[in-house]
Amino acid sequence: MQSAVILANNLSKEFITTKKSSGLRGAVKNLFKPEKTVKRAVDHVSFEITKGEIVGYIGPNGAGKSTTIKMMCGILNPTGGNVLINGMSPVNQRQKIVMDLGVVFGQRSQLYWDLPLGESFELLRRIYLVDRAKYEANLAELDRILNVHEFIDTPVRQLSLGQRMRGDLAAAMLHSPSVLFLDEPTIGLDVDVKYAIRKFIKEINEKYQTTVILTTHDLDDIQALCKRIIIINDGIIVSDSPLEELIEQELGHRLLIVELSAGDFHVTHPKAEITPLGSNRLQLKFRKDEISAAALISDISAQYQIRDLQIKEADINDVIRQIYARSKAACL
Amino acid sequence: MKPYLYMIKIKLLLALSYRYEVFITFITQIILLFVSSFFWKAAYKGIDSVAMVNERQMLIYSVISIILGNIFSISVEDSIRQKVRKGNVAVDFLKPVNIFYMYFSEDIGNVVTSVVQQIIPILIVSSLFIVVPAPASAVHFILFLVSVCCSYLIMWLISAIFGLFYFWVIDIGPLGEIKNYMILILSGSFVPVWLFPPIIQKTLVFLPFVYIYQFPISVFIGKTSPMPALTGIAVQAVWILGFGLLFGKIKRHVEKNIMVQGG
Amino acid sequence: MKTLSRYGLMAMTLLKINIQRGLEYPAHLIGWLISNPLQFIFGLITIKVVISNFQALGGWSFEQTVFLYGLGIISHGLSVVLFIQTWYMGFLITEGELDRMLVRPLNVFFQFCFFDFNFIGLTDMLPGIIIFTYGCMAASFQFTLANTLNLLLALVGATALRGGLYTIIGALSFWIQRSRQLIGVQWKLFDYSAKYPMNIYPPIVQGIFTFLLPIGFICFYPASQLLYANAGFALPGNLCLWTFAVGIGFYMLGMMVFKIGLRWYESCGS
Ligand SMILES: Nc1ncnc2c1ncn2[C@@H]1O[C@H](COP(=O)(O)OP(=O)(O)OP(=O)(O)O)[C@@H](O)[C@H]1O
Ligand SMILES: [Mg+2]
Repeated sequence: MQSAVILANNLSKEFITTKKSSGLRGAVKNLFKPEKTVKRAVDHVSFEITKGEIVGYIGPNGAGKSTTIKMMCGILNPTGGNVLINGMSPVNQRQKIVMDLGVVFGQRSQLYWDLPLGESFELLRRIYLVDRAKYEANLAELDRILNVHEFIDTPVRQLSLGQRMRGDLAAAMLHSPSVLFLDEPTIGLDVDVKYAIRKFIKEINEKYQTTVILTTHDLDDIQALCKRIIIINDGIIVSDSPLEELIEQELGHRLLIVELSAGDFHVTHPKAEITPLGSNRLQLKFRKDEISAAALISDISAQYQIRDLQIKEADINDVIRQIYARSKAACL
Repeated sequence: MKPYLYMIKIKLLLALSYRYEVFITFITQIILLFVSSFFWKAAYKGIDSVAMVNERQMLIYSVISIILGNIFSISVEDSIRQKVRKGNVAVDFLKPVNIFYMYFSEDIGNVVTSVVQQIIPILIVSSLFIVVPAPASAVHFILFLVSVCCSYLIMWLISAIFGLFYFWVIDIGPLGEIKNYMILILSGSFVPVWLFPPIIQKTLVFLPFVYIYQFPISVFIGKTSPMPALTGIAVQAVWILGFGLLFGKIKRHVEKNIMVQGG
Repeated sequence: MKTLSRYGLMAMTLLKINIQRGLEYPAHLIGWLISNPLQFIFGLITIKVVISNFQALGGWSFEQTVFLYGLGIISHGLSVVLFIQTWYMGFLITEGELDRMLVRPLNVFFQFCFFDFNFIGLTDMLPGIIIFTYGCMAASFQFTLANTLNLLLALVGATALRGGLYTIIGALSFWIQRSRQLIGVQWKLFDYSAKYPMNIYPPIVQGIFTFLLPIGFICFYPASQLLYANAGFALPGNLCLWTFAVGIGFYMLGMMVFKIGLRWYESCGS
């Protein structure tokens, strides 16, 4: 219990919006009888995150990810339930909590647009009361992974998206916070920068035991980083489990693809579903708990000569798509 | 003609949906109206007339000036500025309509809107509480209308020329502001130029400013009689021609540049 | 005490940073340096022309009106430097800047006012001081100890009063999406109230500007006391002290409205 860094308990958020009708008649209508709708963006969400975890918080657009993160860092107050960060509530102890928090919104930069990156860092150093020696050390360390020194003297407005993102990440880590919220940190970035950012997250997590909550639409990020994923859809948590478990339970089967030397074959196997792919390729679909891949391969090679083979891992994209689809169906 | 009429309609609809802004703008105008009327009443206290203009005429002067201020709130300069900033003005230039007609229609739309939303209410409030802004005579009124149209064209062309400047210097910053202050003071929008020292008055005759505010208003209140009014309108026409030519020249230059550099 | 010095240091750093940013656009700077003083010079010309053609307005001579005008510009400049960011609150909220402020361990109002420290306001100060100095000499204002103290009280009060009103109106953008226009109204109001002696208005209007929306205290009442000029109303006590009190009162009111607005934002989002 002690080590729960983040504890969300029935966290809920409702937004009340007035619907604007269009056209002249709509304008008149808005004037006299605005239509109010209640949107439940986050609905009784509970989870517990312990120190040093990297948690992927995923869900389709508009699922309520950003809203949850905003509640966790005190930007929004919950309509119901509560959240504790390091045992404190962001509702009444925001300033204290954010001292130990790093936040990056991928869509928006927190750097000064007209100033060299370094100036923004200097400013943050003063805001978070980091003493100079520690700051220098942190910066050197961050620079090692993110290579920010390349553009530290360039005004932020002249940076490319990837450079800016690296700058933003460094800025969020300057005061070595124990919790890091990353809302779509890899949005719009190329493969190299994505790789650097993943590496960065991994390293700080290993080195400082930083707890990381990461939202993203790039499931490769998840696969590379997160042991645990929480899936939210339409404000409701639909799944919260370790990544492997999730894949296991969603897709019990795996695929083995073999290429045979002989073109003429009649392979059958009681524990696998077989589909031919072209003239001498086969796809075998089997369940891990019924037969091991090794056994299956040896059964086949007893009949025919195998030239090449390949075991296909379950695609996480498929898994997630399946879960989204199912929870959407459940809603209807 | 169709797209331009549509533009006017869109403007009207947009303005109607901003009810709150309309109301706020109206309040600002009313404050302005009352402040100027109290100001002139204080100035005229015990004084019959100054420069052959009496208190009543001066009050009408300030009411009409506020109304003209509404009509002359031209958006072409701002539109271009915004677009240049966001870097999508070239797209506009390459549209199959003349974008300056488009901007002009937009501004005419604004005028129509402000007649409904601001000018009529201002006239009512002014008639009830301050002074009935009646023209000196029917002839004066017609001449006033003609000269206001000319003033509008002058103002619009100046704005459009400033808008074109944004192509050279991405952001001339407060230069537009400076121009606005110059117009406000030198055109007699608040204090008529006839109260200024004679030398300044004589100089200003050769500049376009007084033909924007002071000239039409003094026709309205009868300080300028019909014959000089006609001469004044002729001078306005000359200014329109001058600014029009200048505008055309700059516009051609800008268009050529856009074709070359792609905006 | 420690937090105070921390915020003081922060403010200095931000000032430095913002001057640095301002220098990135020198053309703008020069533009403002011309346009802002121009506006005040034109205001002065208006007063001069009218008073010399007509008469002293509300019993205030040209010299006295210049004093009044200068005093108004100085507190205007100060309030612009310190509080102008409240004008952009609506913009900062829709742009998500507020979210960023909320995740920093600093007072949010402080961040509003100082993160984009606007030293352009200083371009108002310069003409203000020149005009005011001229007004002091022309209206033969005596810099005695008492007068100087009263003047300082009035300036602090007027700046706080303006700041409070700006904040109240700026904070409205927590509730109303487009409150920018209101700022325009307030701007016009202040512009006129500062320029002319308030006793040219009928008593009811002056009453509103004294007891309801006390902009008369910004410079009219203190100036009337300092110059022994006609104040229209005979208010009791030291008017400069009143300005100070009213100013502090409005500043606190502004802070309150801001806090309520912030709480509203936290519960509703933008
Ligand atoms: N300030 C607000 N006012 C009203 N509704 C809001 C507000 N902020 C978010 N919402 C609504 O709440 C829901 C959740 O939004 P949220 O931004 O949390 O989604 P998200 O999971 O981050 O989506 P995305 O992947 O697109 O970023 C959406 O339906 C959105 O329209
Ligand atoms: Mg989001």
